[in-house]
Amino acid sequence: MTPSAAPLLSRLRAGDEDALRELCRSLAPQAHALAQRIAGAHAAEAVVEEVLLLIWREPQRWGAETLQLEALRCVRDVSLAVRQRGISAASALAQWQHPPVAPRADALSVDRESAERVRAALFTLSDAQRDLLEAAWFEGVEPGSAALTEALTEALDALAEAIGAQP
Amino acid sequence: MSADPELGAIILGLAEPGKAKLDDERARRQAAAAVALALLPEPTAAAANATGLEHRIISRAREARAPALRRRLRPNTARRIALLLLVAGALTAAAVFAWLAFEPRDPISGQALPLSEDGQTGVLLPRYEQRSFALIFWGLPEPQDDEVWQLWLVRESGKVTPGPTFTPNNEGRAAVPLNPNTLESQDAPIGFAVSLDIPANRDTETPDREAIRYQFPLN
Repeated sequence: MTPSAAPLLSRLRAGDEDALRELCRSLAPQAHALAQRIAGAHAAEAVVEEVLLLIWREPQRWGAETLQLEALRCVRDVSLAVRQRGISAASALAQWQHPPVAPRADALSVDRESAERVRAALFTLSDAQRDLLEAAWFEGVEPGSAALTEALTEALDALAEAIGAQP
Repeated sequence: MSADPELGAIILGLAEPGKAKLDDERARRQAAAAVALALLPEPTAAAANATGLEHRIISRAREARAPALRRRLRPNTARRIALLLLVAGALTAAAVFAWLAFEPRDPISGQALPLSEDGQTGVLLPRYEQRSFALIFWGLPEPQDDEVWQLWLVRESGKVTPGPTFTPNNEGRAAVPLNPNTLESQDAPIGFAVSLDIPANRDTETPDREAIRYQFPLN
């Protein structure tokens, strides 16, 4: 379960630099690895830097229970925009909007144990579902057809169930 | 599970929201599953120049402080000058009143003591007519709805005693009255600390170090 970030967000609102350092140290390694995979090593640091500074400037925009998950989602979206549209991380972030759905907070946290759970859960899916999800998340491929869109939904359901089903 | 066949595409940002119900449990579980994929790349120490990145972020953060502070601490030039004049005036007036009103044995000499910490400003102001003191703060961030600030007195022995709780107005100002008996002590006060009030700790006599936000030494 993701620990509440309410105290951290409260400190960020108060302008506490130590809180920003804590956020940086807890989130930046995973965020950087994600940004590097999607946008490449040359852009990864800029993406992470912009996203963390957005949290610093506008802490009220983030959910206390879902801060890290939402931040990683933001890193993914901005990284995709940088790669697909060739724009800077700052420009991509300026156009970024929160996704229409907030993730459930009790599903996972940003740590090695959760990462292992996700890898294990992925291997309970079919090869096609796994490839589809990874392509959609890391490549941002267009769904293309109604059948593909439905397959995407089923794959996400299967992954959600697999993650939730494991101890 | 056959409803909302486009839900996954919306969750992944590959389609615009249509008629799908985006606030239901299924959508939130899917959203968590999608972001779970972010954990797949293996984070490594070498993946990021962690120290350099952190330094850059902190450096830029100092230029663009959180809005709650920026709004209060970076007024336009005219407001800033007015604020400085106000502080200077208050200090002068307080010093004059104090000189007129206080005996030499008063625990604090009677002069207003300017206090400052990381952009927050406070003044220990003698209120000569009531023989009491007030701490005046500027620039404190407004706490959340259910929070208030807690004042602590730090004494020469290292002992910390609780003072009153208070809430700044919407411009970050607060006047906190202090009973002179709390200052008149063999164990003289050497400074003040301000923390967020934590309801669970209200009965304790010691502040939670994690909750301390500002410290104002009496020099």
